[in-house]
Amino acid sequence: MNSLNVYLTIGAALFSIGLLGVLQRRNLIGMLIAVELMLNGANVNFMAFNRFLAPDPTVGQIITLFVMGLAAAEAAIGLSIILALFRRLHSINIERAQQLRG
Amino acid sequence: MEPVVSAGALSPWEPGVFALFVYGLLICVFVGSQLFIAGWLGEKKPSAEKSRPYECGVIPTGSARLRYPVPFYLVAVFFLIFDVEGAYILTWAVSYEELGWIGWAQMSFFIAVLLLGLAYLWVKGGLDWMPLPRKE
Amino acid sequence: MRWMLLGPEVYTFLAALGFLGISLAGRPNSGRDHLAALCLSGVGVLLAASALSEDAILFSEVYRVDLFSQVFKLLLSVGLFLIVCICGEVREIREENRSDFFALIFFCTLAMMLLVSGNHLLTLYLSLELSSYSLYVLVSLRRARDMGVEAGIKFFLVGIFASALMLFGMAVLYAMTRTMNLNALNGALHGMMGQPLVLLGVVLTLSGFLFKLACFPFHLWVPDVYQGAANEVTAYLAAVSKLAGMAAILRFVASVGQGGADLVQVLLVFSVASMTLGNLAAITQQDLKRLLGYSTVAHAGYVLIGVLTLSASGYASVVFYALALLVMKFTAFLVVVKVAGNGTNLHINQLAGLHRRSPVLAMALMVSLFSLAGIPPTVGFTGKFLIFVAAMEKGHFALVLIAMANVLISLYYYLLVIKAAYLLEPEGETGPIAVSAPTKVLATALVGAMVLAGFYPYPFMEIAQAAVGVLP
Repeated sequence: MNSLNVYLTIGAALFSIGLLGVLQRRNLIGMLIAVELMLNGANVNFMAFNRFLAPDPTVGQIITLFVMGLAAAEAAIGLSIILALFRRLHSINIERAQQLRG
Repeated sequence: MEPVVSAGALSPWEPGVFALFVYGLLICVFVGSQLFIAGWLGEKKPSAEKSRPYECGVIPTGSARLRYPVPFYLVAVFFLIFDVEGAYILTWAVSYEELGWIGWAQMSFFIAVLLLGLAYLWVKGGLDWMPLPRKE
Repeated sequence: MRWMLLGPEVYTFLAALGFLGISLAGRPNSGRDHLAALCLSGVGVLLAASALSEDAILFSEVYRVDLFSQVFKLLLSVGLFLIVCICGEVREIREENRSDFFALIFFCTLAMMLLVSGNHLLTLYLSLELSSYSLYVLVSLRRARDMGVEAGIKFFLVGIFASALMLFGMAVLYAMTRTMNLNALNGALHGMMGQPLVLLGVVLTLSGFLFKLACFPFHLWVPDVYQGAANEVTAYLAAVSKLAGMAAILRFVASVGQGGADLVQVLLVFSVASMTLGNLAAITQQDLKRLLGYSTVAHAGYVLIGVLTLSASGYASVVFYALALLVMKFTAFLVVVKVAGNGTNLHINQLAGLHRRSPVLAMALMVSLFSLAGIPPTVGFTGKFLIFVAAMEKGHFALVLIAMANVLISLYYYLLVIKAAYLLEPEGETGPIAVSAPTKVLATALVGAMVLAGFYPYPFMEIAQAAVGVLP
């Protein structure tokens, strides 16, 4: 139970679910959530590597902490842009946003 | 941090965990059997009246998928940012003694930046509880 | 304590805070804001120039001030100053958002200054994200909100996707080397580049930089964002934000890439795909900003050629090309901003008769496009020449041949634009474009700089070589 591989599997699963979500979903909120999943997958990896491989300078934990803050800021910016888009298009489907084309 | 050694800490055969394991198993069996018996013996006569969502006797109106007013989203966004910044302050508090006055100064700067952010969204009307004025 | 060590960064931070304060105080006054920005960024250039010789490693080795970073900081401040010069009336951004606009531009430049000095993967990641966040908001600020917000959301989605990939790559690198410091990575990765996991980590980590550089797998945002953002913001994106991407990718690849034959192959594929896609897609574009966007994608491909040589001469050629791109792209966008006087997008046909409406702008457009295409007496030619020579030294003959073919393709669509400006007759009556005297001086100076640096590039080449001398 308590080995590096378990955490790596969780991290990889989160990352893959997120990757699939970004590529396949067309709902903007869904895509945002999917990217957050990817970030958290990487975070789990950082924590696990820090715990099992390089425990002394806790670089992995610090990175996780920073990424949490970044992810929050990212979600805030993303939600505001999505809100502005929703006011225009009355939809949060990315395929409705196709005014820009060459 | 010491490396993790207790490989079998969560094994069901560990003396301290065994009782909990058996207890959990018994609960699962008991609850499962209750649900099964209720579903098997109970009489089912579905009608329009019965399958309606129960709201204290009041007949529901309209769709459940209401569109929330925008200020709720704004508050959610602000909360998200300021809440997560708390993580940094907590981390600082844990190692307060080691960091000393330099750490205190750095954290004060950090909090000052947060306050500046708060002031910004206050002045810009982010906290006003009304629909945003439309300007074009 | 040497105060100039962090001079440019602290100064830019304070300037950005100042604009935030102006924005808080209310009473929008765009003339005052523009004047303040002009003065502040002008002093910033002087400050960055005087901090050129600083050298130190700070904050437990996560931040490195050396000639490489200081040269790029100087270029960034010059770029910021030039951009502020054309931001006199940003018509596409509302009056009440004008000081926020300047604050965001200063914050973004600050983030890029931190990026070029980053000596730790976390520093690089944080500053990359900070600059991207400012840009997401800047792009979405456009008054024609349909375009701005749509461009913003596309930019945002590609950006956070690339940053998530980058973070995962960093986790893999961390697992393989147990360190995130670039110097330590350089030592730890010695002889490990052959391992597939290390390669995976490096390539995934590169994705963030490739996004910044608008290179092949993450180029999808470029045309839409260039078209959808306000003209001045697009100029900033094209001319300034690319610089930081180049610096970051140079420092990263120089630190981790030694002896990575597989990494070179991967970069080679990205480079060829980026050049070819960008140039072929640019041919059919009618919107000038969109065309320049695709040309940016192609230029990212040329830059990668210099990076993938993994040699000092290749890196030096990239630094030189960064300078060249700053001047060429800025001149092209100067013309876009001035010709599209009311802030709308510029169709290529709208350039018709430009040589009569404003000879100075027409000449600036022609020289900058020739320079982008790489016609001899301009800085663009010298830059490409240096990159190709560095690649030939390393034996990438096929790559250089492909790049040459791409240069020919690009010449075709640049000539189409120049033809519109010089040979086409305008439909209907169009008066001359009012160009103020400072703008004329600026355009002439830029043209002079492009030609002069093309004829006599040695001082800049020496600076570039000295700058890359500090890379591992």
